Parts: sequence; structure tokens; C-alpha cells
Amino acid sequence: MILCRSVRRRCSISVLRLLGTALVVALLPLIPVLPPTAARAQTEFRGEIREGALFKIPVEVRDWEYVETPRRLLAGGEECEAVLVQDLAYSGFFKVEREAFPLPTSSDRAVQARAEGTVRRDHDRPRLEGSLVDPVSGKLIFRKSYRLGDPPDRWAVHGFADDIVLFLTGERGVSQTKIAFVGDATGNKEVYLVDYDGAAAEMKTDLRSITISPRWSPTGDRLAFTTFARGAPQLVGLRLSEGKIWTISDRPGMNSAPCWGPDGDKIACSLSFEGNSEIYLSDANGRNLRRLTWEPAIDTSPTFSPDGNRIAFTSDRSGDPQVFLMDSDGTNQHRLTFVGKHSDSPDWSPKGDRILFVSLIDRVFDICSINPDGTDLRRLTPGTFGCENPRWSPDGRQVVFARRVGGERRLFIMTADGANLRQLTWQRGNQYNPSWSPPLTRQGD
Amino acid sequence: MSMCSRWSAAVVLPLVVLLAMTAGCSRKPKPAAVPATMEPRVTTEVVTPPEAESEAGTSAVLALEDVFFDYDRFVLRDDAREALTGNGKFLVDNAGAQVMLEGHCDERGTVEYNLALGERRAGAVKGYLVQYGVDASRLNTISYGEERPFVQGQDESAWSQNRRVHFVKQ
Repeated sequence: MILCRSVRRRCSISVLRLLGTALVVALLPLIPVLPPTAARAQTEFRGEIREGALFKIPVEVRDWEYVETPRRLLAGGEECEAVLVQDLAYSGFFKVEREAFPLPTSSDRAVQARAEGTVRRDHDRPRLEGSLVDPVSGKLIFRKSYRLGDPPDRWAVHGFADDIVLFLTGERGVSQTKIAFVGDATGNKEVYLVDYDGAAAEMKTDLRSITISPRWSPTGDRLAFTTFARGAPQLVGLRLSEGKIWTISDRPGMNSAPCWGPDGDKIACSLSFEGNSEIYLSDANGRNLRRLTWEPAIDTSPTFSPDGNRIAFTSDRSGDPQVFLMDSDGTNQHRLTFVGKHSDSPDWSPKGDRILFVSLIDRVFDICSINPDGTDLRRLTPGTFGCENPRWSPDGRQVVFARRVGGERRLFIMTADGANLRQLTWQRGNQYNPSWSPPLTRQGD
Repeated sequence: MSMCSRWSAAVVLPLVVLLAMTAGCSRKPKPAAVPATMEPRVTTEVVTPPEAESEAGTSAVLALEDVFFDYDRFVLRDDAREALTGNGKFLVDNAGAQVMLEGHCDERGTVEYNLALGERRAGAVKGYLVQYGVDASRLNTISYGEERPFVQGQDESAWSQNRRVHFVKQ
């Protein structure tokens, strides 16, 4: 998608973008201060950044204009601007005002933007014309037209929000994404999808069995997961547009823990047909299997670095389970984490700079993150009972994970520093094993 | 039925939009998502819950005791060895019995690790019984990880019941 940038850039816009970039940098891990000797460094945690510690860009969203269309034209009866306000708030970067700002009286008021929208019919189809405007001068920052769909839905508004995030922070937002997870509302464990904001949840499989760990392909059109539908745990792929399932591995024993390579053509997984669970690499169609680990221990939960050159995984070869690293040809295997009684479920960040995992600390599983060189260990959910399966958003700014509420597991989202916690799923039963999609495009957008 | 058609028979695409969600605004389902032809669902492959299997087993198989494990361990405790000695004697005396050893874990840890751990537990039990003199071809193993707990609950009394290898007649 290309932004309309024909407008003249003004000084204040440069300041906006500079500030946005600074904010992104602030959200990323700070400069490591611990010595590189990982085993020694991982005895203490860095302090956490909590909500409110960061400056948020003030953005104004007043009522939009609806020309020959009803205000609440979206399928759910919402106003378009309400969806945008929520998207901007969820991004964690903005302080959204629904009323006009007072005129700037000090420097901290000088950085502002206003998101304006006009909904009108174009060849009988509603379109949203979105504009970002400097509220002081009234000058245009960018303008773009979005097709609202038939019937009109939220996806186009998400696109406007992601463009605003891109323009003000330098990186595209993640409003046009979905999260795959395992749910058991029917009594069976099936794959579900839900929009990143909790809307439009739907069941995607009806295998009436046990499903484990669905993972998105980097192309966004396929999922890989383990199913017991034919008795034993087998590894399969699901092509979402057609609903077709193909077998990736149905070897004897356990076929589990898929993770796609960055190009979507390779899958790392954990298989046990040669005696115990080892990590293997294969083509996405299941061919060209190559064994990467050779330990008489549990090796599972592989996750690729974004360049595909390295893999983080869980192993109990040193006693208790901990996170290990290797090159993606199986060489250079070494231990990454030295924390907790049980460290597991690694997920490598999209920028490559951090690895999420869970660790059993003080008898509670907490979400932690660490640099791939073993420095700068951080505990993101201290003392929160039962956190599982943390997974990065495609921009690496947010984390989705499962957590117990009462007796049941629900999905939550927080920013990468542990702030802005919000509950994503509310369905009956349990929701867990999340995987965050890459940005998804829709035909005609 | 070929493997491919069995899979397509078993999958139905976007069928269920869940109970009222926060915003309650669903996207238009893609027509391509619905398979053109729907074959009858394969029901014979649906896994039955462990209770049903136990009841379905013969009284002879009920004589086989489940064995239990410590957290994150697959080594056989003394009480497990004692139970397995009895099970081994029974299996040697009843040479026709074919048994599935199901490895189970408590809910702590991740599903993927627990799937591997359950397999190690089933493997440890199988190894003990083979050493006792039971033919390995009579002993099949499967891991359910933490997916089919015997007791619901988030405390040690539930967890200790769920860390087990369960014997099922085949």
C-alpha cells in the first residue's frame, strides 16, 4: 500500500515522525547493561516499564462526515470513527481525544494530528476518505481512500489506522491482522481465528478432536498445527481460502510444534519417530526431512530468527527444560536461558532483537524476554498466575499470550514492555495457543 | 478413502461465528472458504474420552493399574514399579492382550513440551514392561500431553492425578 504523500511536508510533521521514531526506540529494549556472560547475568531482572511511563502522541478524532450514508453503517452498528479511536488506543502510541484540543500553549501541546474522515457513496459503494491533518494550520498530512466493503465492515478503518501509525511512527500498525488460537467451546479443541481487536471470532476447523499449536505461515494464507483427528498426533497444514488440509508429517509417534521459516517454504517441527522428540526441518509439503538435534532429551518448540539463519528451541538436555539456540543447519547448539525451574515456549521477535519465553519463577509461569546473546533478561508479567505461549505481533511491539482467569484460559495482549494489558477473548471454555498473523490484505483493498 | 479426501471431509470452514464478541462485527465470509462438495464426516476416528474407554474395557484389563509421576519427570517411582510388576505379571499370564499406554501430564508447562513429556512417560512404562518379559509388539504408546486431564483443577491434588500413564485395552 502506498501512502498519498503528494502534500508538502511541514516542519511540524518532521517533528512528529522524529518523535514517533524516538518512541519506537524507547519501546525496544534499552542498551544492555549486563555483562555478556549469560549464566552470570541472568540472576536478576531489569525493572519493568509500566503503563504511563512513555509519552503518547496526542491525536484528535472528532465526528466524521457521512454523505448520503447512515452514521452507523458498519455491520456491527458502529461508527467508523469509533473503530479508529480503538485502533489508535490499542497501538499504545497515542492519546486519543474525541474533542478539539485547546490551542497549544506550551511545547508539549505543539505536536498533534487530527484524523478526519468522510464516508460517501462512490458508484453505489461506500468509501472512506481518510485524512490526517495538522490541527493548528489545517494543512493536510496525508489523504487516502478506502473501500468499506459490502456490507461495510471494519477492515478498511483498520487500514486507515495502520496508515496513521505508519506515518506518525515510521512503521505500519497491526490493525489488519488476526490471531489464531485453540478453543474448546464445543467440547473439542478446534482452531479459531479472531481479529486483533477481539472482533469476528470464528471456528476454522471442525475436526472434533484435539488440536495443538496452530502457527501462521509468513504469507498469511496457511496455518500448520497438530491434530489427533486420526488418532495419533499428526502435523498438518490448512490452506485458509479453500479449507483444504494437507499432511506435513504423519510418522509414528509425535508430530508437533510447527514453525514456518521466514519464506514460508520450510517448517521446523518436533518429531519422535526415531526414538525421542527431536527437531527436524522439512519443506512445507513434508518432503526433504532433515534432522537437526541428536540428544537423548526432549527437544521441541522451535522458532526461527527472522533471517532464518538460527532457531531457538526448548530442551531438557541440561536437566530442567530451558531455551537453547542453534544455527538452522543444527550446528552451534548452546543454552540461552539460565532462569527458573522450567523455561519454555520461545518466540523470536520479528526484528530479531528479542526472544520471548515463559519461565517458572517462584512457582508461577511468567513471561520473560531476553536478547539472543543472553543479556538483558526481563520479566514482563511478574507474579501473574499461569501465563503461557507468548507470541509477538508482526511489528514486534505487542505480545499475545494465554493466562488463567478463574479456572479458564483467556487470551490477552500487552505491549512488549508489559504495559497496556487488555483481554482479547471472552468465549465459553478455554482459549490458548495463540499465533499472531502477518498483516493480511483483502482483495480490492 | 484416500488420505487427502479424508482430510477435506473432516474440515468445515467458517461455520461458527462465536457468541457475541466485544464489537460483534463479523467480516464477510470468503466464498472460497467453503468446500464445493462435503463428504460425510469421518466419525470413527473421533477420540473417545478416557472414562468411556475404561468402562468399555474388559474386567481383565481393569486389573492393570495406572502409574503416576512427579512433576516434569518420567522416571518410574517405587510405587510405579510396584504397580508395573503386577501389570507385567498379568500381561505375561494373558498373552493375548494388546494394550495402549497413554502418557498424560498436568497442565503446567506448555502443550508442546507436555506432549513430548507424556511420550517419555509412556516410553518409560513400555521399557519397563518389555524388560519384565512382555512382547514389545503388544504395547503401543501415545501421548496426550496435557490435553485430556483425568481431574479438573489447579492444585497438586488434581495435578498429581493427571501425571500418569493410563492403560487401555485395544
